[in-house]
Amino acid sequence: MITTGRHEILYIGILLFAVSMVFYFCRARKTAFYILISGLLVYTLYLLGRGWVGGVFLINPIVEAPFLLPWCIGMIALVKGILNREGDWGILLIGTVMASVFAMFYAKGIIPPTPNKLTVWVPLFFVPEVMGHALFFCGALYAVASGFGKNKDMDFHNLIIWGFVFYSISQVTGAVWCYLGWGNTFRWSTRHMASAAIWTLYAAYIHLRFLPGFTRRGKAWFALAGGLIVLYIGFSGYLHELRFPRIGG
Amino acid sequence: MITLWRALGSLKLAFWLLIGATASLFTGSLYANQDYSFFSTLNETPLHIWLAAHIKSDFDIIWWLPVLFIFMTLLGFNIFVCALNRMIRLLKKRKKMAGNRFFVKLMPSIIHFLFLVIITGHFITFTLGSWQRTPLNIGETVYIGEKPVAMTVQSIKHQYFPEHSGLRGRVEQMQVVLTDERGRELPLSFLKPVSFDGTMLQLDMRPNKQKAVDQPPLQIDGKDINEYCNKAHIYHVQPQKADKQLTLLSINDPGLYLILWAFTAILILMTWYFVSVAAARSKAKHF
Repeated sequence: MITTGRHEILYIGILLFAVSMVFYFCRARKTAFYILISGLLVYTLYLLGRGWVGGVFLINPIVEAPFLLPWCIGMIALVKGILNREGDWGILLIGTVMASVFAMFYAKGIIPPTPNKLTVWVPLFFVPEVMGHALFFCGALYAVASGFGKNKDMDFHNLIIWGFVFYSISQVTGAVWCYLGWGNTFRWSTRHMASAAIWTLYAAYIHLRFLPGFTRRGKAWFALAGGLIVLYIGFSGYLHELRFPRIGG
Repeated sequence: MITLWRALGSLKLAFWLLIGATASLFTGSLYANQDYSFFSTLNETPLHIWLAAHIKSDFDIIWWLPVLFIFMTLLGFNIFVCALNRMIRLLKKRKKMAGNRFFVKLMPSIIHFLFLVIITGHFITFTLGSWQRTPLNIGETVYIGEKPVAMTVQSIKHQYFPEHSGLRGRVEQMQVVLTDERGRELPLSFLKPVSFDGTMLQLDMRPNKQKAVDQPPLQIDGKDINEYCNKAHIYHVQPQKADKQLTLLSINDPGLYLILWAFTAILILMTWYFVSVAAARSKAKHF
């Protein structure tokens, strides 16, 4: 594909995200919105191009978390922008830019996939997992931006609920893939236990509304703490994978 | 008794048990990061046997595991009591509610019962499951199934990535054919488990320990390849051909179907529940 191995496409996408953010905070929301759409289109082309990095098409590099995460946060901002153009969707551009700057410095090559990683379960696991992470980050961002719950228009709760739905989907598809590839639905490894820890953490969060002592402010702090834990778990995993040999960059 | 029932069904307890489980799992993930190969043995050993072997000698690194099981067991009781109490309350109000609204209200309780099924399924897997590995070499005989049946490894075919690609020389797929004494064939390949006499059979690749005695082990950043969960090196057949061993993994997992069916049902019901709630909220906004 024409965008394969062309990292300048990635940089253009990131630049467009950054410009969109600047326009948004300069109150040119309409312009910011259309620049975000352009950025997402360019970034999508780069992601698709990653499919051919190994010289043969593979879905694995497209859904590699450090590269998919900015796209997911950008898509959440887009959807929120579509639902309410005058709303606070632009706050999420901060997350999009931060995640895409990380992608900019991340290793661009692919980890050679083993036979048990060449399956449709790979996108079925990674897409909802990364979307879940993205929604948790967005929830945390909204919780902070709302002044820890003071601004009631900024609904971080719904973002986290949808994050929990996506994350639960990834737990199911991940379990199926794990069984087919390794013979267990759950493995006692760092990856699986950390993933289960995130799930139980947000399961605890969704029970908060039944605890009268927990105010909206308390929930917002929980959302921030959750986002930071997901950030630590997710990004320590991405950094760990930098040590694996790669092909194509 | 009533006090105990109420205490067990408390939502506050549910919240703190979930936080406790989170902390235990997170702690476990940190220990597993330090010693991947040690904890990976638990994946193919029944939990009680593994714990009996390690609880004294390795307590300092596995203490979180019994703690996790205590939290999960209490959570199981808590979920059961909570969901049952809620269901009884709803059933009493059944006649006052429209059918659809009743089912939407009932859904969280059903989802909690299904989650209970998943926890039980995992517990059955961890305690009653069995995993057996057999090296596969052409011409050799392997014994598979509950009443062991002798089968010969007829062929092992490697399918590599295309030569023009950057992944050349790496295994994309393998096809193994086993034959019994009547000549009946049992084909196997990666990601396609085959059920045989109640046992699931699948392929896996492991480092060859015997060969490793003669050769230095494969390393990444000075760490042995076994210390990593990613096994990309093992599937790269050139030039470390002697360092890998194709194995047949025979699995008896009595908890599997409970887990998978409950997972699938939870997914469908949870999505339906959140969509229904979102639709109801949107409807309420318009009126």
